[in-house]
Amino acid sequence: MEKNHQRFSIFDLVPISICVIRSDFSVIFWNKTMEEWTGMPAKEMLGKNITMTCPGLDRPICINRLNSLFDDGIPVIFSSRLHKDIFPVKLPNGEPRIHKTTVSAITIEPDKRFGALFSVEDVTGLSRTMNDLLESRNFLKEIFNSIQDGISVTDLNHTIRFVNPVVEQKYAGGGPVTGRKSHECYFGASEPLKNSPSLRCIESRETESAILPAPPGCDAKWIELFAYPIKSPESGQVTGVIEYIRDVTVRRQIEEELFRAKMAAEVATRAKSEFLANMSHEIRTPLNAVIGAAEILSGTSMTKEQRQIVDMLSVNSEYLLNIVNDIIDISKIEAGKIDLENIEFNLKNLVEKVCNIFEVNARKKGLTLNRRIDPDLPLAVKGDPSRIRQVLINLVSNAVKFTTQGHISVSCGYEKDNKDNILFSVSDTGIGISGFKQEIIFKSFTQADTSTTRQFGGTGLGLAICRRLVELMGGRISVTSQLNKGSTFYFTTRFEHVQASKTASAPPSCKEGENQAAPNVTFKFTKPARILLVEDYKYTRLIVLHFLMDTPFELDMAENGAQAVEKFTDKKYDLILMDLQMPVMDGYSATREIRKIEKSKGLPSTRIIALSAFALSEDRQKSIDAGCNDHLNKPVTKEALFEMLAQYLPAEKVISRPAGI
Amino acid sequence: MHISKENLDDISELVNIGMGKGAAMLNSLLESHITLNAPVITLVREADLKRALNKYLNQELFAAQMSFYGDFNGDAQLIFSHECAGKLVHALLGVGVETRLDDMDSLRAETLNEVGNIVINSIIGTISNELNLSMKFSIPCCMQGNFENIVGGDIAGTHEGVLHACVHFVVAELKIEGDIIMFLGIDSLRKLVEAIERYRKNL
Repeated sequence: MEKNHQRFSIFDLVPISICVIRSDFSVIFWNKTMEEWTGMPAKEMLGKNITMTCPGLDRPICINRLNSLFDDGIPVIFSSRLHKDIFPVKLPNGEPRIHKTTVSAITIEPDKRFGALFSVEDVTGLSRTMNDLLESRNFLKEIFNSIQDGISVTDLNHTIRFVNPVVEQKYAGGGPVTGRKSHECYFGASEPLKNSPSLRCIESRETESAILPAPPGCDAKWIELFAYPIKSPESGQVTGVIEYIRDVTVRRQIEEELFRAKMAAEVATRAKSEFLANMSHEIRTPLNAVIGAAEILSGTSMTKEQRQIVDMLSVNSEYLLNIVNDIIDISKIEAGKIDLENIEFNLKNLVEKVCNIFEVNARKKGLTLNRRIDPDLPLAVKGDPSRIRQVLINLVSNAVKFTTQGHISVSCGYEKDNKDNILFSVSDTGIGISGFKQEIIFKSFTQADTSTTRQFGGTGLGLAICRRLVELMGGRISVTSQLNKGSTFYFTTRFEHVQASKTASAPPSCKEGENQAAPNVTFKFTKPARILLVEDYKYTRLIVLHFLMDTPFELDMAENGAQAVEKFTDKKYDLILMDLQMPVMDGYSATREIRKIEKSKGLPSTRIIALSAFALSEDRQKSIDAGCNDHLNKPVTKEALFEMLAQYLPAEKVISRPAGI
Repeated sequence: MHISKENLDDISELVNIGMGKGAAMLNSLLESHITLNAPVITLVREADLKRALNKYLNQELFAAQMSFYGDFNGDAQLIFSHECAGKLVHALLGVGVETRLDDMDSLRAETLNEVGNIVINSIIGTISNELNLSMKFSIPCCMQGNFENIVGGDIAGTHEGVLHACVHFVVAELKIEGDIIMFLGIDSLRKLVEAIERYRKNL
């Protein structure tokens, strides 16, 4: 047995497998690491032909290369990856390893030829790291390739360094883009697009984005471009930009469609509101006739049973009228067709009158109705009395409606913190409103609990109208309530104050819409007068005729404006009741025509009272502008008609307690 | 320094013998038929190398490099363009063409290292054997980079002349081109010329 060559024993200390062979392939040194890796002890290897024990080394290529090394002394490398089995690269325990073998020439005395020194490095760890890196790189690449948005990485000069396949296929016409300038490549521009996200993000060091028209020639029409700055981990300097390109063509189309749909819906809502307003108006005309007819009937002598039926008729038709009025109001508000008046009126009177209206009803239900009006309030203010009244009536009627025992308080005074505002409150001891429902009752078409509709009635529009009206008047409406204990509604408005001296001459504030007029005042007309009623609707004519039957007035009729003008030129009238909407010639034109005739003939001005189902101020204003003296809302009740006529014709006030209420 | 046409012809002859030996080794290693030839050998001044190799400017290159010293000293490089290196690896190892070149850096480095080792060994070995020169060699290494990194790297600027041979690898009907360059100092060049002249006399 040969001894390990002493001069190589230092190699026993290195963690590299080393062996030395002579040119006859006999092993003269076999170090400790080699023993470990191959499982073959040195004493067995020394003197043996290496090709006998190391499979693969006996292949001609290896023999040739080793021979040239023995002759020329030129080192040789063997890669286990290329040669695979150049060395048994399985540890004795079966663990596979990757080795790299370098063979250097070494002189071995007294041989003439070189010997060979094999050094085998274990590169398994390195190789694994490489494989791991490769794997994670492939994984990242898979992700990049699977993303359906474009990703493009550029340096600070906008030169493209990397793109995913989507960019090449979708945005760059399929051509290779790496190395080209991004603006040139996508947009055919010689300079970067001004204010582009990429430029901005280099400046701001933040992610920037924009929606841009897509590059010409690609399927997309719009893209969203995000630019992320790449920051150096050491210095934090921006070293490049990641551009993320998303096709938002479909999204934009949808957005545009949604926008169009929204516009269409808004137009439809306005059209719906207008339709409702018009339809309600159409309903009101015949309804007025029903109400009038019931009123006329109730003035005649009837059996108890007949009277019950007539009562039913008038209660239900008025109820229906209220619903229709609500619909008209909300529709007008929603259609943006409401204008406010700004006239002087007596605020205290207004509150009193509203309370008077409900006094009787409250008493009938066993409720007390308290009113508390701050004596410091000015007598006269400037604003829209009919709207204030409408809101108050709504709140008080709700209070009465939803309260079965206890009391209702109506108060009116300055707001505590803001003396410019007047605060109205209506509180009751009724059913109350639960917390979350307090939020929604001011919205259109909402009642706190739809089940209450059946018990208490109503369209659910009242409070929505109140809110809109109060807001239109620059105020706020709110509610505090406890279930089963009661509710308090508050609203504020801002009025212009008017000097007290003017108050006396302030016009009476309750002309319009007063179908629930105070019951205890009637008028008796003392002198004959000639009245012309201009009205196209036969039944309204009939009703007015009935109302005036017991008066000393002589009533003449015209079916439209043209007839009215004709009659006016023939006869002299003390007063004209003028409907506004009529075929042939409407009330506005007829009024203007009459005023023209008066002027040309030097006649004294005839009183003209407009009759209209349009309960809104712009209609009133329109009729006043046309030359009317006053305005009476339909449905025309006997009380309202008489009160109006009493202003312009000689009359006596009769205080009485009418039966039936 | 000038090398006569006869001397250059002799060097060409030796290089081609070495090529033949290298090709035989590659054939047995890779079990595929490879022919190797280097038809023309020129001597260029180092300063003119860039012009001679201008096809390699502005691209990524791979090179196997070995240094030798003894009776004459110098460095030898086998250079491939990125593309040819990829083709060579495909041709030799049968790696699917669909494999992206980037994924193969380590495999390619290993392959070129060994191919370079075999080819350079064969040529220098043949020259030193035939001319009876005594030389030692470094272990080959593989380099990757642009022209300046590789050709103009730490070996540049100290040599009198560069022997340049364009090498054609023909593997499985593919023609793959590489270049062998051998940097030699003035002493080495003179010794080489002397050795060549001695060699011709002995023929």
